[in-house]
Amino acid sequence: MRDLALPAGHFEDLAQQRHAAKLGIGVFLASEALLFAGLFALFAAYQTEYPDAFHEGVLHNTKVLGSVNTGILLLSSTLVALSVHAARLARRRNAAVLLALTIALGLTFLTIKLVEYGTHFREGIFPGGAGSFFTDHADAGLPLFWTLYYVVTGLHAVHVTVGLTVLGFMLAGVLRGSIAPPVTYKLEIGALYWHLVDVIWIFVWPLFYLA
Amino acid sequence: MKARTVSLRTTLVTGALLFVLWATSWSVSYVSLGPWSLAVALGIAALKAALVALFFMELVLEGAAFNFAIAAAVTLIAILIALMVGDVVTRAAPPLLPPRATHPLAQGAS
Repeated sequence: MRDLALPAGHFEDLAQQRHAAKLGIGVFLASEALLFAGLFALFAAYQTEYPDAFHEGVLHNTKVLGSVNTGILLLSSTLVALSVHAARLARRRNAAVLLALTIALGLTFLTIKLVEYGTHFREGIFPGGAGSFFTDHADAGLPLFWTLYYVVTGLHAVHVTVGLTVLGFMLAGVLRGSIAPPVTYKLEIGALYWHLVDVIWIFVWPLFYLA
Repeated sequence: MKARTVSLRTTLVTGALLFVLWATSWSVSYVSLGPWSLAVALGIAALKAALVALFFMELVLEGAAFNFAIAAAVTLIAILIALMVGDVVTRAAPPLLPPRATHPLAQGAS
């Protein structure tokens, strides 16, 4: 196996390699945040225009499931941060277990999300204002609320899925020994993506479930 | 080379604080605050996001390059949302055109 302490050929040393990797993920995370920002801005504009319909939409949403999911993501973020700690101390087993738990929590999040979608579908709430719910509730803002709900949470679920794939590779790396000191920054980068997924949900939760 | 890291204790305290804020936000949502409920919920969310960014993503220790990328995104998002809401709020109902019946030029228009 390649010596982990040696940087790739085009870097002078590991510190420079780590710095480049961190800057790369920083720019990528910023662009991801801007992708969601467009949707949040749309929410802000429609919420300002249809405050009553958006309030009604929030009241009708699956608040308990959404809130439990928030707790799940917060816990998973904490665990992945602890996994980075363990990896830095070369505690391979701890790092792997914490990563596996993070992945399990991510899968639980997606399962609960699917249960939520199922609940909405049974109530006749579909994207684009389709479904029986909207014939009974004629307010023009409601289709906008629910379409935004599906787009934002759907896009977020795609990111959770990508994050789980990344964490899977991280777990494999930790188990194989290719993610270990002095190159634990690789795990940090995977963890950074997972934290971004968490931060986005931190804002999705109050907008669509609470207020 | 040994990069500085956030301590284990800080990570655990951050995690605990996140759960306190989560429980607070969830509880407060059952209290009717009228138009303030969204502001309070978003304020708590911003606090949680800051905790995750500073101590889990380790922005407190990160170099200027990484933090600049994140700060640029936050600034652009703030501008985008402020301008978009500003636009919606300040839109006046019929714009510059005067009512048709009282405007001489509008007489012959179809």
